[in-house]
Amino acid sequence: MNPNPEPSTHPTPGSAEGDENHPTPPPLPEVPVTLLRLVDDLLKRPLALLEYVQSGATGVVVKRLLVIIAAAFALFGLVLAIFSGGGQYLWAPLKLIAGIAVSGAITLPSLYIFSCLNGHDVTIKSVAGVLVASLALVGLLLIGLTPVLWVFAQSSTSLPFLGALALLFWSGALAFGLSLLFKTGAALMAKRNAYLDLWVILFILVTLQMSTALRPLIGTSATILPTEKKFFLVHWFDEISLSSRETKKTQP
Amino acid sequence: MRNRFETETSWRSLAKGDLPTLSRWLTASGSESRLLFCVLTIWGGVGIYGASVGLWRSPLMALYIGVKLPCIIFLTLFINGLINGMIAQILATGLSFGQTLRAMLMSFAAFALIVGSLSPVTLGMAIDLPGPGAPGAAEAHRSLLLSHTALIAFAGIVATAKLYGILRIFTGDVRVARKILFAWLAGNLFVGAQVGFILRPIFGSPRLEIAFLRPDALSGNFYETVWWALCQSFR
Repeated sequence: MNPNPEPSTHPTPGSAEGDENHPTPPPLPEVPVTLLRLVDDLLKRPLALLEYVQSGATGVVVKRLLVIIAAAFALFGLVLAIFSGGGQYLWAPLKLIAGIAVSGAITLPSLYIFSCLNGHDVTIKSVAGVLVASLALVGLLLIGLTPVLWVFAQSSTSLPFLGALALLFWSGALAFGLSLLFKTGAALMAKRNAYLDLWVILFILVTLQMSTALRPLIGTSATILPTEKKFFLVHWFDEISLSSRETKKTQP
Repeated sequence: MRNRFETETSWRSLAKGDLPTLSRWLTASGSESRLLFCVLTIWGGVGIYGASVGLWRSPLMALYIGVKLPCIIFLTLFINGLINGMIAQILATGLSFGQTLRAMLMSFAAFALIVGSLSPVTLGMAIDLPGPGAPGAAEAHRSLLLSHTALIAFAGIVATAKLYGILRIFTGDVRVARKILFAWLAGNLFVGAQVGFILRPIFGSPRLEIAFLRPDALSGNFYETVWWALCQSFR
């Protein structure tokens, strides 16, 4: 202990005004976390946003990211619904939102454990924040792709084609969106192990199966949800076979 | 709140394989050794995962397997406890009987964390695949078997790697760590397979009735059955 401490040249954190010679600068005005700013951060400075999400003060940001996810998937669903029309305008957006919410919720525990296995020093709250931010980026990319999908939905008559296109867009958006997870790992200076790659494969499989469990997302059906349970590969194969049979029938 | 924070921190240490923390648990006594924490983690993680395995068949089967799967782990550790402790002494690892048990519990707790964290997905699989009796049930049963086998193998390999890390640090000798790991694994696999056989059905054939234990639970053994199956295949 120094018995004669020199007077501090810095204001104490508690004193708002500091001393007369060194007045404390006024606090920076808090920039409100608007949706537009979040969109901007997600696209331009995702790591800065991730730092904010991981810092713990996440309430407002996560809520707004969830709004972005819901809006983006609803819009993507609406454009998908153009192909079939009718009740799909309501059900396709709702199913897409429900699908991504359930997929995120059921894979969150494994993302947390796999991140720990990877050596990341994270909490489940921060992992949830990173997942939400990643899915928001996926949603934004899907919004960017909706005009392209709209053009094809207006003119296409082939359900498998539109399904494959939607799948292609989904894969591309996921590849960019989930890369945030790896960037987080790199930011945490953790060595890259295969655990997060495995988790990404798991997440993709879950979302693909979810699209089959909530079918039809594109075509029409007598019931809102399927009455028959199917594995997604079996479903795709059945749809492609059915479509090729119908094409043969209509050929002159 | 503090307990929740401690539990999450301990789970993180287990999953990360945070060797200083795990070594401290191994050498500490009383509540610092985290014995109860490991037991509860195994019970919870493996129990929930077991329930997801059985749910495809029926909710009753989910309950049965949710109880039986952790029992297989605890019974195997209990039956092998003496010999595992002795091997640790013979190989001069410096591990006492209690520490041997704790090291294995930590490894199984890491296993439980992995399978437990995946159980929401496997629960979804059980709900979403064609059920027994529905068209495509045989394929669904096969794909469930394959997925669970792959998942258990993955979690087992990762948990073993964590145990190896602990042993390497604790013994300070890579060769001794490998020997003890090999001996423990061999013993646990040998006994675990038989305990699992006695407590069958685990995956359960869709053609057989749902039961907690088979009426002939104690007749025959796992290795006789494997031998019989091999002989039948080459006839």
